[in-house]
Amino acid sequence: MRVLVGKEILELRRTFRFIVLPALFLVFGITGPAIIRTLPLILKNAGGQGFDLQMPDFGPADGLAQFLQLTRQMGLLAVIVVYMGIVAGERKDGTLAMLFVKPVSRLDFLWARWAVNGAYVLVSFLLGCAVAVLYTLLLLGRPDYGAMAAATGLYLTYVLLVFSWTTLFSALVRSSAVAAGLSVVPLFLLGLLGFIWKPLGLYGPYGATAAGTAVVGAAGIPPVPVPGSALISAVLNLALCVLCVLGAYRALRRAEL
Amino acid sequence: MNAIELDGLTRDFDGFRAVDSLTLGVPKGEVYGFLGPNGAGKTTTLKMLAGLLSPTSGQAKVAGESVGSGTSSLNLRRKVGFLAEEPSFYPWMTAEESLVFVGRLFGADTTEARRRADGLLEIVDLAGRRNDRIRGFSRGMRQRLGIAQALMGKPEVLLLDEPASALDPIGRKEILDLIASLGGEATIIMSSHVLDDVQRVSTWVGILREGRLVAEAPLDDLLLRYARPVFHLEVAGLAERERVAARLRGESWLREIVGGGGGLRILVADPEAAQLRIPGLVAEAEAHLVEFATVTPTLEDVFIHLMRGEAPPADTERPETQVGGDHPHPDGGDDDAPSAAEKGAR
Repeated sequence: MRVLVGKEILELRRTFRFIVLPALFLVFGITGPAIIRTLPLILKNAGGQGFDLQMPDFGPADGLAQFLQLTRQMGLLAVIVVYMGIVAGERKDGTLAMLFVKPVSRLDFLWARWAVNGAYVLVSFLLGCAVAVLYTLLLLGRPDYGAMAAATGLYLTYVLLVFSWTTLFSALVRSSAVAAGLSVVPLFLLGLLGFIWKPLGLYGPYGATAAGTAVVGAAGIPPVPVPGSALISAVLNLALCVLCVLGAYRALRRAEL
Repeated sequence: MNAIELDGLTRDFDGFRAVDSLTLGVPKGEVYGFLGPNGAGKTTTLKMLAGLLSPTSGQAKVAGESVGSGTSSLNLRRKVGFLAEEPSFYPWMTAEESLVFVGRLFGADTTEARRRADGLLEIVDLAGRRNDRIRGFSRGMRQRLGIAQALMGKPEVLLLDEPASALDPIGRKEILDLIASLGGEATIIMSSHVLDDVQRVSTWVGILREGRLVAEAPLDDLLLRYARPVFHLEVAGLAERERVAARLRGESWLREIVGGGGGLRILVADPEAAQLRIPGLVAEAEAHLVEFATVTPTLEDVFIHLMRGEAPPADTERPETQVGGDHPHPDGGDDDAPSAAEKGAR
């Protein structure tokens, strides 16, 4: 297992994948607060004479909320694109077969790959959060650190879940592109179904992110304390992560190479 | 004692039978040449033995470990080295890192793995490229590295799928010499459709056609079995050759004369009579004898025979060579019964 973990870390370094996600979340961390800071100015200049748009007063919470929104939309898509070939890619280029004729447990392989890359995704997201807090402080004023920490914790579970189901789909199918396509489906469906059926929205996987945004507060809506449903949603997300890895193992255990 | 034993090993792919009731045994320490045309089932068989594919039916044991149902067996994989036809590596690793990684997967510590990697890199002539990323390696270099990684775990059984297919003539010779030198230490199955490669290194040969074993025997026995009573005769000049051919055609033991190159290839029914009479016929034709020799059969001759479904020469003294495997043939045939190839049936 230690050998496999070492290989994953070396792969992250050598393939320059380690730059991609931190750089992206860093950009979101900067642009989130920056958009909020400049939005009134942009709208005012774009509207011209006679244009009178009523907008709430933007504050630090809006900067953080904007970062979280960027993460929920483009950040998670980036995670899927970066990791759609986490198993399928190795299967396609034959390295999986090379590895599995050695005394390597397929479960160890999956855990090592999931743990190292999952940690990397989370660290990338945390880096974005830190930069978002910093730029919010610089551009919009002092944010509520406690609320941001709570929101970050809730989001982390969902980000990890998206990475985990991408791993699962990548193990289930042979094509990285198909794995990406399948991974995008729950990303959109969970939000939509949660909107239609409230219990799913509150307690389901997406509930953690919705609650995280509410905890930060934005657009004049005051922040709320972390609801109990969000904690259930976060625990469910972590449980689903483990199930995704075990599901990927089940698929890989039977896989013929 | 057999290091590899297959008993009715069968593999289907979507209704297509790639390997059909394969039954064979490879004695410990032998280099077993696994021959067959493209699509004969060689790679599928090797992948089953390596645990990458599951058999549809039948059983196999490699180094005492069952591969029939336990494809995930770690014990099996500790004892086996496998080289794919097109070996894959992590392109971002260097040659040395790749071998050290494999060595550590086999349980060696970093120092031991590095020591062994250095030795193998010397053997496969990649020592000068040890710190280069594999991404930039040619196919031949990848194949050399593939052989090195297959040897990293000091395997009891080595499964090599076309190990010399991408190598230049010098590299080919070096690798074949290496494989031959490993015989005795490890049991090796080497698949190839390059017959000369197999003839150079193998002590046993199995020939597959359409997923079935059509012949299996020690190499020398197989060659003898398919030896045909053929002589090569060379005389000085075309006119002399015509005169000799005319006299040969009058002999009762002659079956066929084929002219080609600078000589005649003479197929006979009675080799002893022919051997005594031919020099005399040359003298009678007032020709000058340049060369007269018995034609030694090659594996290519055997292979072509079997692929055409032809029977071995009936009038040749035959050793106890097995056709259809060294176990009773799945059809119920035995050594003396016509093989699947002889019957022209699959």
